[in-house]
Parts: sequence; C-alpha cells; structure tokens
Amino acid sequence: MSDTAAKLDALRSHTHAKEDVTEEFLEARLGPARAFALLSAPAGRAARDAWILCPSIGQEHGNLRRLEASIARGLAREGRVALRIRPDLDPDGALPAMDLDARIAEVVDAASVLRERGLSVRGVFGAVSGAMVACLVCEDLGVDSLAVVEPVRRGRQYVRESLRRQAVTDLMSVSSPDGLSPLQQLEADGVTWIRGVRLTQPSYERLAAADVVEALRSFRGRALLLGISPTGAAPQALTALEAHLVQLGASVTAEVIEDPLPVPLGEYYFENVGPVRQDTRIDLDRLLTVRTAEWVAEESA
Amino acid sequence: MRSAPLFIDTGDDTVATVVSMPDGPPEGLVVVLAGIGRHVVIGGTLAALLAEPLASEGLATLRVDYAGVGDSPGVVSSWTAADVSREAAATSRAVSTVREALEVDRFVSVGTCFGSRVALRLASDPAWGGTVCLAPPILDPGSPALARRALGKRRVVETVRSLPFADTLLKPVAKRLVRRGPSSSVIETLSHLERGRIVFLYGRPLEEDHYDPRGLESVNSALAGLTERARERFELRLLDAGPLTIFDGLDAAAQDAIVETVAGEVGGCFADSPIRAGTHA
Repeated sequence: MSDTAAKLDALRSHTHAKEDVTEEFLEARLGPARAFALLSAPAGRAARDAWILCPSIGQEHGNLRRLEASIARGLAREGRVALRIRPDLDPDGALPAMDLDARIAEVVDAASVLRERGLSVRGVFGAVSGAMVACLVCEDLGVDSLAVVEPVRRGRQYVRESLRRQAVTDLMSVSSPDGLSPLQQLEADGVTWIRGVRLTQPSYERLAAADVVEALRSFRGRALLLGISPTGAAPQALTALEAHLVQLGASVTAEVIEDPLPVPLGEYYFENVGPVRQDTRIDLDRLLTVRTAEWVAEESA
Repeated sequence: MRSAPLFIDTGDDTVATVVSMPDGPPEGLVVVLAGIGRHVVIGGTLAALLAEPLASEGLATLRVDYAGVGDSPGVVSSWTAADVSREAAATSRAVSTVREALEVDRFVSVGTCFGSRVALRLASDPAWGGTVCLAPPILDPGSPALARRALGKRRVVETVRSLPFADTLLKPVAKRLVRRGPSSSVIETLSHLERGRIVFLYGRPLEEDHYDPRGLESVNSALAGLTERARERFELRLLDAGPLTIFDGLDAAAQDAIVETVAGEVGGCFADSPIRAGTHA
C-alpha cells in the first residue's frame, strides 16, 4: 500500500467518543450503482447483531440522510451494528436514478457484507420510500425485525406524487423546459427528471407495480410502524400495513408521533426565519431515534 | 478516477467527506462546498459531478458534509451566511489533512451560496490558489436577525414589539439595524486577488441567486483600491442556466452546462495562480 493510500485508509473510520459509537466506511461497494457502505457499531464492545438501513428511492434521500445517521448511531448505542447505504456516482459517472431494483440490490449486497463479517442480520429499517424497500426485502433476507417510519405503501401513489411535485416546481419556474409535464415527458422520451433525480419508463413501471401489502406474504417477526401527524391520526398506509402484518401473525407495534410537521417527512426541512435558516427536524429526528432504539432494546429485555 | 469516503477530525468536529483522485498523482486539490440543503450524495451533487472532469485534468476533489449535516455527527439548529466560522475552520482542517495525504501544494475552493462564504474564507491559506463562487450572497443580513439567532429568543423581540409606541419609537432604529450591508468578510477577501482568482457566478433568475446590484457596488469599490493585476483576477459571470442555488434539483442539461463552466473556471484558477499547481518536491 502506498503512503497516500495508507494515510487515506486510516481515515475510513472514526470513534464518536460522546456517543460511544464507531463509524467506518467499508471498502465494499453495493449494488449496480456502487453505493458506499457506512457501518455504525458500538465502540469497544462486541455487537449483538446487525441492522440494515434501507435507502429511499428518490430525492427524499437527501432529506433523510441525517435521520438515518441518527438511527444508525442509536442502534449502535444499543449494541447493534447498523449499515447505511450512501449513493455515489454510478459506473457511468451519473448520479443514482430512481430505481427500486437498484436499491433492493444494494440492501442484498449489504446483507452479504455483514454476513461475511460474521454478523447475523436481525432487522431492516426504512423511512418513507426506504420503508417500502425494507418491506420488500425483509422476507427474502430472512430478518425477524422490521422498523419503518411513514411507510409508502403503493409505489404508484409514490411515483405519481413525485411527478406531481415536479410539475408544480416546473409551473413555478420561469425556465420550464418545453411545456411538457414530467409525466408527458416520461411518456414521450422514456425519461424524466424529478427534482434532479432521473426516472426512466421501466423504473416508473417497476415502481408503479410495487405494493408492500401485496408483497408481504409470510412475515411473522416483530414490526415497529411509526407514523407522524400533526393531529395524532394514523396515516392510511400505516393502518393498512398494520392490519396486514397482524393478519400474517407478526408482532406489531404501531405508533403515531404528534408533530407539527411543517413539511412532510422526506421534504426539505429548513425554514427561513428572516435571514437565518432554521432546522425544523432536529427534535423529530431525535424522537424517532429514541423510539426505534427503545423498541429494539425491548426485544433484548 | 477513484473515490474514497473518509471521516476527518477537524478539531471540534468530525466531518464525513469524499476524496476523488485522478489515476496518477494529483496536481492540485479542489474543495467543493455546498449550500445548506438536501444533498443526495455526501458533499452535494455539484461536487460529485465535478469530480470526474477535474480528475481528467489531474485534480483531486474534496467534498464535505458540514458538521450536523448528512453523515457528519453534530447538531446545528440554524445557519446563516453571515457566520461561517465553524464551517470554515473545519473545512480548513480537512483541506490540510487531504493535502498532506495526497501531497499537493495548491488548492482551489468552490462554493455555492452558504458554501461560497466558506470557500472565500479559505483564501487566507498560503496554499490557496483561487475561489469560484456560485450564487454568492454579498450582503449580510441585518443585526437583529443575527442577534436573534445568537440568543435564540424570538419571544424577547416579539414582547418588545408589542409595547405601546414601539413602532413609533423603535421603527427608525430597527430600520437601520435590519438594513443589509456588504459582508466585511467578502470584501476583505478581495485583497487576496493579489495571489489568486476569484470568480462570482450567478444563474437565472438572478434574484434567486442572491444577485444584488448594491452588493456588487461594494465589490467594485473594493476592487478600485487594488492593483490592476489584482482587478483582472476578479470575474463576474451571469449564466443562462440556474438558479445555481438549487443545482441539485436542475435537469441533466442544466447541470452539465454549469459543471462545464465551473470546471473551466477552476482550471483558470490553477493556471493563473502565481505558484502553479504541482506536487510536493
């Protein structure tokens, strides 16, 4: 190993003394888009088992990275290893597209990486469309724990809503490209862009066909379903998923966290207060982390 | 090109970063700093997309999640372009660490919006060779807003405003305080034009990219006091694509055009730097 490579290699990990957590970027790359694998583990003690944090599919990934980091560290404090998946440029030098199969492949690769390290993969976590990924992989991975926040149930609804939001953005923009809506552009050209993320026609169809309630057929493990709402009312996707999992024989904990939620989870969460940009999600991220870590710890108890 | 994700200890913080390197020894380092927003990849989309064209020119890139953002530990509850000291100190340490590991003498900084302020702050480093700013805010917000950020007590301000005659008595004072003025740190940075280029890029619509004629007047006044050679090293360009502040959300054609422009300007910084890019002796 060259001197430069050795110096860089030494920077792959760090120990967060205050949190009692070690984090490490692994050498392994995941899935066809060669995503980074980032491991959080309890510092200086052996881990009980491992969790995978499933990546979300569209632009919301950027708004959920901090929550995922917080959850990973929370799980590590509870004595678990948590692996999160971080996109990078793909082998063609492009940013990752909205591609459900690519995200699933990344999770499958992550499970192999953890098993190669001698860890048993106990659970999967996901938020918003990442929750959909978690639901779609949990049976194939054979995990017995599933934790999701604000799950997307139907891919069709998710991708249509994403297209609608882009259409609204285009309407507000002075430089709307050619007058076509993103859906029309997708139909005409076979590709469109949703807030900077590429969506192709085959990916659209794959996403539109996904339904987590239809996909879950045999899960009988533990499930934590967390919803967020300003009124405390459970989101429809959450209640449908809860009912289905109970029917399958899973042990389900479903909770709704009351939060003013200025914007939906997964949307840009900074608010301009005069010239200051205020983070509106710190308390909610903390709360979701605490609740998830507590639920995981209950299993050990 | 190869990329390595790293954690860099910056003293008070640890930041998640990605270093991308050309296949051969790099001839210089480019640190790319994002604004405050969602970033699908560590350090932001612009930084990731710049890595390959810059690597083909023999340059390494460093991109950073600020403390409290994305995968970097920490909590930062509010941000303002008027105060980038924490991010500037951390980035400076990260640049030093990576320069030492890669054995490069020179670096150029690139920043968008909030990140442009951080990028400009790096100009005092002797190894600095230039800065490319995308949508740089030249004006600072007025003092009450900053005081409110520092104190975190909006209620105090609201209580004072609710007092009888508050409007009559306080309005003239408040008006003076909230009037935005040119950032002294931006204006002072222009003195570094003796050592390297500074480029301001604004996209369209201009008002969404912090373009402000009053701020540019201050820049022109400051430039007037510099040598001709230094003045020549400052450039302001208005681009057709934009807004640059929401680069992550633009379509591929707009992103490509901006990446090409920024890569060209970075190359210009290295070419124009009095000490040319190169590896350690």
